[in-house]
Amino acid sequence: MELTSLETASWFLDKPEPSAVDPTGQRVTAILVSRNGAAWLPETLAGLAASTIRPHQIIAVDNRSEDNSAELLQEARRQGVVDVVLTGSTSASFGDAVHQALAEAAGRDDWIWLLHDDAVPDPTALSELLTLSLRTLGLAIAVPLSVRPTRRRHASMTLELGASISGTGRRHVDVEAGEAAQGQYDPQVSLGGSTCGMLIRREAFEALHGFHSAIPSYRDGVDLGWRANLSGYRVMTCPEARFVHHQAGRSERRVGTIAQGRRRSEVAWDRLMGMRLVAAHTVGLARFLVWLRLVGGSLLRGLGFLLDKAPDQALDELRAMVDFVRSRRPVARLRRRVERIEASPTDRQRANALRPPWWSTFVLLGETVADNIRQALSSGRDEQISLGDLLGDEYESRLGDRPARLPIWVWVAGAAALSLIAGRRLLASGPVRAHQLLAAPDSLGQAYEVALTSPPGLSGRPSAWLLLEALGSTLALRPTWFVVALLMVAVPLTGLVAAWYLRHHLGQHRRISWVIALAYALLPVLLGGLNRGALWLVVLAIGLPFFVAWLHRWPTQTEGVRAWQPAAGVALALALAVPILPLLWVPAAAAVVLTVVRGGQGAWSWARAVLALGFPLLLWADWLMSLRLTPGRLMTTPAPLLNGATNDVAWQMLLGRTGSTGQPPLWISIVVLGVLWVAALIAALRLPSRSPVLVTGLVFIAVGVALSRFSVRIDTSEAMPDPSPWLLIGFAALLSLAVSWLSEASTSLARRDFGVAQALVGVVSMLLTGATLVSLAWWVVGGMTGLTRGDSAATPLYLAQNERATGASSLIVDQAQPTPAWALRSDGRATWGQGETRTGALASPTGWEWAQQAVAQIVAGRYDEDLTAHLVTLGVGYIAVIEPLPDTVAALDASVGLRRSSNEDGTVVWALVDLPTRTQVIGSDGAVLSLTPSDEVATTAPETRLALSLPVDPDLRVTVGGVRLEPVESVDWRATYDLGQAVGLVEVRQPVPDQWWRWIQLAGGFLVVLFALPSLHFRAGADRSPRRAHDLEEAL
Amino acid sequence: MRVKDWICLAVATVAVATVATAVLAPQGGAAQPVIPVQGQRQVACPVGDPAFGPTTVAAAAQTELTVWQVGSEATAPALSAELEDPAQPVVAVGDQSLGAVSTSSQHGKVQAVVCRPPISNGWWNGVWVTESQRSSLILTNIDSTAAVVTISLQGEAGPLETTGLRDLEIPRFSTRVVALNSYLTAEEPISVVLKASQGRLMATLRSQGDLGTDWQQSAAAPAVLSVIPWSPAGEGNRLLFLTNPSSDRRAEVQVEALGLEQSYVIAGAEEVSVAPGATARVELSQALRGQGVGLRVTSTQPVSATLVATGPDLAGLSAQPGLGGGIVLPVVPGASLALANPTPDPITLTIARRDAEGSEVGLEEIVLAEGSLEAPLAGDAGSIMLTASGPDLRVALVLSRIGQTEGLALAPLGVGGAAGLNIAIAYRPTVG
Repeated sequence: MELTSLETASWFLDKPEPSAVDPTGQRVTAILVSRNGAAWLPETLAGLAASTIRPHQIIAVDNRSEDNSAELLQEARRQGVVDVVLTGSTSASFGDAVHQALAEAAGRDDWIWLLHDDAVPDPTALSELLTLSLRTLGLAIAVPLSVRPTRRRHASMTLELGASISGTGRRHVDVEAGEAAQGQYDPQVSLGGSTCGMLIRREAFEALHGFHSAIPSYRDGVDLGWRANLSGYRVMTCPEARFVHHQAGRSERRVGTIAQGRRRSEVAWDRLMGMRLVAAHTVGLARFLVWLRLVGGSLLRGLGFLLDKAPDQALDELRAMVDFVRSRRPVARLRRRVERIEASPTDRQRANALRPPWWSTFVLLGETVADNIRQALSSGRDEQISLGDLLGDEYESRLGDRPARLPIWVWVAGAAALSLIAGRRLLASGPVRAHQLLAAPDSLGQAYEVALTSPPGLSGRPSAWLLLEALGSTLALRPTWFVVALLMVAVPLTGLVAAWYLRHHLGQHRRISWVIALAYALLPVLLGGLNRGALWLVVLAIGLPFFVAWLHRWPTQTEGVRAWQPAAGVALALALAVPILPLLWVPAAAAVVLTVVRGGQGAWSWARAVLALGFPLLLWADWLMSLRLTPGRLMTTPAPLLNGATNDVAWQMLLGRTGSTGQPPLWISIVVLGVLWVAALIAALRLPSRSPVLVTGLVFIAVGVALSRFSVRIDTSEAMPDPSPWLLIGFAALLSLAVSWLSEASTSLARRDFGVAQALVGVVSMLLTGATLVSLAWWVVGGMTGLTRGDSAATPLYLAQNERATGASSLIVDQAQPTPAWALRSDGRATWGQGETRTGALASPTGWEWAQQAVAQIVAGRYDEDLTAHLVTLGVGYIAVIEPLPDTVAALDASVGLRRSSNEDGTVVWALVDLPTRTQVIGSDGAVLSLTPSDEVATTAPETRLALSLPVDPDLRVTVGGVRLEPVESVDWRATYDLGQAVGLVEVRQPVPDQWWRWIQLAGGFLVVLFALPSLHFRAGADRSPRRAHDLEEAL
Repeated sequence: MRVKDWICLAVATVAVATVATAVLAPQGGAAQPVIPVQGQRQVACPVGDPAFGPTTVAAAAQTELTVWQVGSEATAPALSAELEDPAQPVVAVGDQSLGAVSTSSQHGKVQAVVCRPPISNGWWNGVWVTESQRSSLILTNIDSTAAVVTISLQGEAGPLETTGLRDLEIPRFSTRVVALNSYLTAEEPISVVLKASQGRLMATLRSQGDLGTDWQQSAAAPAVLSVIPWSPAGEGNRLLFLTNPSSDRRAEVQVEALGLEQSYVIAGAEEVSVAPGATARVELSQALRGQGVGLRVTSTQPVSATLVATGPDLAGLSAQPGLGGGIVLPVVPGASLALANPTPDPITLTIARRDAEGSEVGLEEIVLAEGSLEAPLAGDAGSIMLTASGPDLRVALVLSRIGQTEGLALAPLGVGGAAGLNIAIAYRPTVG
């Protein structure tokens, strides 16, 4: 006998030598059940006819098909392919038909071979099944390998090989559906499997009382196998036996199924069968827990589908759950049959071992999420591009540009290294501070307190941006971590998003698109945004490509739930943009309207536009409404009080030089943005169809420049609108124009001889590349050096410590500035929210006036005899003057109630002799006792009052030792309370107003995020997607 | 629209925007709030011993003021006040325009000062402590808490060792006269530095002897640019005393004359080197040849500068800060104003005359380019309000006669009041 290579190596593989068996003599009754399967029946019958072993008898049962299945079967009988054709009933299950056939069968054969009308057996299928059965002692059921239909000469794709069931009723298959079936599988014990092609030992079938009516379809094979395992029989898969299975039922192509008879989808029916099966196989007290788990799990799955924008799936799940709850009798009947098995502990243990572990659901969930994220990232114009492709040179090689050179990790490591070098100032401890970035609160709780509560004395709502910062902090766990993370990833992440946009939505595949993406990512750096700590500019830069991408999708996604995704995406982008710069809503609305008009998709498109544009206004309605008091904020960016002066030289604004701090040297702005201007203008001339992009960009730039000329009133202060957002969008448009031209020109000129046009493209490409490298260098060298961490070095450290320890404030005046600047600092640092509006004592008009007057006197080198008295009410413990003028020093030195405290590094500090704090107990005789945060009110005399350096606010809740104090008439401008007999610690709280609205905001935001995100298609992973199989088959 | 139209439109948009923005000056500077300095101003005036001659303290303000002698009750509020021969130093309290002048003819000579707020640091140069010329510091505590001061003396070569001048306590509402001659006698004039470690006080240097009699207020804090409003015209010596307070750095000083028509470096004062902690004396008489000029002193290190004029009377005038805000002064008969502008930009001094009832009776404007001048003040009663268009104008009262008594007194206005003084400040929470 000639040995095959496998046999030669069998000793090495340690496989037992298969014993020689002869299946040809086995008596097999094949039962083919048909129900409206005419579309596949001819193929099935042909496969049956080609079988190398003909069953002893082939009985066909037609369950009263409405198509010509019965005629096809009769014709097959006439041709001798089948022996008998029986007629069943329309309501009969597969099991009923099998039972009917066995009752009519001639004689009692050893084996039963079950056949579906939509499954084509390989010629050797029966032979292989019998061979395995004969070789395996105690084998009662052999389950063949089901494969998907494929094109001729294409590799077979695995569908399933045996099946099991999880505790939630989920169908579980051990093999990876969709992989090529290349003979890699070995026979394995299994809990059960599909009835399609199942070979059953007749003796065992009868011992098990056959199929049960409680599981009329889908899970009947698993039920039978499960009971067989419990009864001590063996159930095994037989991968050598193949069936091409169309799964006409699951893919909803068969009509007249039992599920349809019950007005249920096949998915819902399958779920019901799964739940019934699990419930029926659970005995004892555990069945109640299992019942609860099945119902609860089903509800959760329904919710999951709903969140995944699959309402039909959610409905199926809920219907299945309801049917399950109602179907107690069938479950009870099947459970009684299971209970009668009297399985031995060994058999029970063996059967349990064949079921997936409890955590398999979570593993599957994770895999599904990961799969779908990958799919989502690879979606777009070029469905074949994945994130990995995007990052690796393999992509280029696939496109035939160049061979792969650097793996992904090199790029990632390089970006991380550059980010670390650029953000070296962030590699320290303490909160991050910059010109436009106040220190983050210490905790999430404080971040939300700032975001949700208005400062005492102010009627306006906190800036919506603060809530976004708090939400971002939640994701990063701590506010400071959020700031650090966002600044660190700002450039790489923006670049990646821009690259994604360029490749997936503009279809830019050239290397230059990488350069353009990087150039775009560096725009915030060139505008000085990172140096100033303008987190909002980073968010805007990241969000802008998404906004444009969703606008691109608007005309193309017009069907079903998916049609709402672009609208939700636009709504989400605007929900982020409005808190940054409310005025941006106007051009965004124009863009949406233009898109809808050009798309011409009718009323529903307008409805989606209303959603997209109305949602951000509704979401931030409370804040926007409160802006009627400070309408100037509509034109400014977050923390407008931190905005610096604008650039006096108008033309420099066209080079991104807004005049604020943190900008690169002038020559860098000229080189980089000058190149961009040149490239954009050339692109506009060479690519006429894109001229509107140029116009759009220029309009944004012009608006930004024009707005920067005016100051707006914010809360009694004047602030300059920051033109950075307008310039960012304008320059982004110019970049987009440049890359479009370069890409199209490269493609169109590729096959022409070298000429002026190619030279122009080459020169512009090189210029853009060089400019981007210059920008990159600036980012690394000085693009983030304006950031600092920890307490300020401009004032002595003890000042901040005193503020925290005593609850006093410090009046800080910087005379080094051309216009002396000042702040009333508390708790050691200024934190989020204080750039939006005056807070603390300054929220009071009188407190504000007194503080300003004190500063004016200090700067003027004069002093008022009431200076210290006013400062005491403000809770000022120290006055610190940075680089004071001699007159100032002389005046403060000679002021009553002040004492020179220190003079270090150009900062002179004076302490108020009485060391006041912001919490003062005022006796009936006017005596003042200042309290630190840890001080308790020990005893009180009649008419003793508690004065806080806060404006009067009826919402303030002040307690002493847990006793809430009643407000009394203020002694000056401060919130004053009657201490009564209260003793103990003083606590001041500002309740969150309209909490219900916050919940609505949260829910609304969540829903929009949900709709905007790509669907994760949980159904695909949960049941291996019969519909997708169908889709695939249809595609084939 | 064709492509070219689009591009033209775009370029035109940017061009218009750019031109418009170039025309529209950014309102950043104007956006900063300008705060008028308000509040009460309090000044203290020295008085002489009635036994040696009469003293008059006169005060005026835009609104009502009160005056009180230390340890006494305040007067009723009025637009102006005048006290003849007060026994104790006088304190005047009013609005930020408040000004007061104390004039005296002690020992047959003329003394005058423009009263100032209390101080905690003071510098005096060119102080004679010889056998024939005695100097004393008059320290008056006008507050309700005690003040503690330390006085240190510096000679030509550096600090002078003295005992008994540390931690001098001046009880509340009291005056203490520190006779410097009791501590040392020096051939050459010395410098006096006062530091209050607690509280504040009115400090006036009184000098009397053969050279004449003089009251002198503290000089401005040492600086690299000092301006002495006036070196009076006429005969006599004009001595400039320069004190370098640094303990380790030598100061190289140049002295320029701010004449009426030009400024020039004074011969012999092109490069004066002042050792650390030392005082240098520069003889200006020969170079100035009797001309009245202002003096601009520039140095590589902060120095304190005082001009001392001798002749018919002793008169000292130290470097002063610019007149930062408006101030109302009672009219002193026979007095004139000495003005010095050390900057190249012309400064306008507005003099508004008011009668005793506060009604404006005249308005005069003096425009002064870089240089100095002396302008006589007409009138015998009422008040004048001085307002400068820039912060750098130095102003001093020049008084050569009180009644029949002749002499010379130079009384700088210092920073003046703060009436009409608007300060641009910016609230920035990130400061510090």
